[in-house]
Amino acid sequence: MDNAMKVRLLETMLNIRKAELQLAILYKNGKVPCAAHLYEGQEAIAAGVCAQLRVDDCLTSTHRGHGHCIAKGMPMKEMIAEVCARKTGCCGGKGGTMHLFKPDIGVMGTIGIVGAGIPVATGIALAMKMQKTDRVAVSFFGDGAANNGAFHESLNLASVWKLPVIFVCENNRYATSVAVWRSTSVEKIGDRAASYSIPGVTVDGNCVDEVYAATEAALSRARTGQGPTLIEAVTYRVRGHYEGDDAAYRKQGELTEAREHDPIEYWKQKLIEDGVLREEDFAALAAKAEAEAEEAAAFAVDSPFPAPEEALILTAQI
Amino acid sequence: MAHVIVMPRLGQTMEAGEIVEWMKNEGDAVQKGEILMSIQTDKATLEVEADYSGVLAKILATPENGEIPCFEPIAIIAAPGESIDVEQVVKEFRSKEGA
Repeated sequence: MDNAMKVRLLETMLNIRKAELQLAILYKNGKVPCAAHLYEGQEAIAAGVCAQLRVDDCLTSTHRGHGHCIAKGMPMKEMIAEVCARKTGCCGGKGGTMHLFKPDIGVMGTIGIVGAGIPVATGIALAMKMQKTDRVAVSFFGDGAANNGAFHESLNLASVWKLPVIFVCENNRYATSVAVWRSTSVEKIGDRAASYSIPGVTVDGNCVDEVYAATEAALSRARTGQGPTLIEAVTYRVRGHYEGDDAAYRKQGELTEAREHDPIEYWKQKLIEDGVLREEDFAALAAKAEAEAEEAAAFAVDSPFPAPEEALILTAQI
Repeated sequence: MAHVIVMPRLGQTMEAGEIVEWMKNEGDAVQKGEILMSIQTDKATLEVEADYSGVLAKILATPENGEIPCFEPIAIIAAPGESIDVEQVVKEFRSKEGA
């Protein structure tokens, strides 16, 4: 990884963090009509995976999907405006947080149903293979989805057909309010790859370099016809499941401990130690990301809602 | 520039909330991200962060006010040294929000 990439990863993480904190403010003030599931603390996963994807590679995401969209190249304005249901959003304000799509850059949906994005990414990978391309599909999902039948069926078929897909399980320790240890038969979700004869790795999802390295290996397999990989990135959901969730089900001390292993702080320290970055460079990058997020929020709030007579545009006609 | 702080909506079913406690007094400096107050929603008691840095220029609602509808003004954060006309700031906020 060269220095430019190291800084780019930091910028992506900062952009995601600042956009999410801006959405928290918009939510409190009634500008977000739907529930808001924020990605704070998990930024290293979206950044580390998507930095190596091409614009023609595709991803599917989840209800906690704003970060994946930004990392794949969606302008912050389009994301925030869509979450606020405005006409200037990526889906004209008709999708919202759990239907963020931008096919021209490979964002094939932040799908709100748990586990439902996994077979979609698998199907996209099948299409890519049948079209004889070297494109790759990535499915982001959580620890809860790894206990869903769609996960197991998709891994099986992707293995049998050697599909160019990367399954990225973001284990943030909670499926809504259910702790992963209460609901999951294995200690490492990455171990489940063995059942489907594919490589599986478990990495620290708050260390962007670990995520990056695991993705690099998975991408090289996928692009050369060797089939899928399962990456489990272990992280922690530092906010509630939704904005307003007091997360009273956490173990005492858990949140404080997780906050001390912040992905942005980890990478910042590493880059300073390596001489890639100075403290003041970091402050400048953080201020730039915050200014962009504030500008995007103002843009969203100043944008109109879609007009009633446009209701049938961009929507499915059955 | 003065910013109006409203009773936040924290959860899809929340329609009103009560102030439990202000962590700052009028005139105190406030940093964005600092805990400003705690509120009681229909489901939980939550600490709420300040969305702006500045001075807590005016507290408009206290625990004695009981339930306050979401998005009603509860405080004003102003720039340090800024003198504000509370009624004017709230009026402008209401006309901008169409409420």
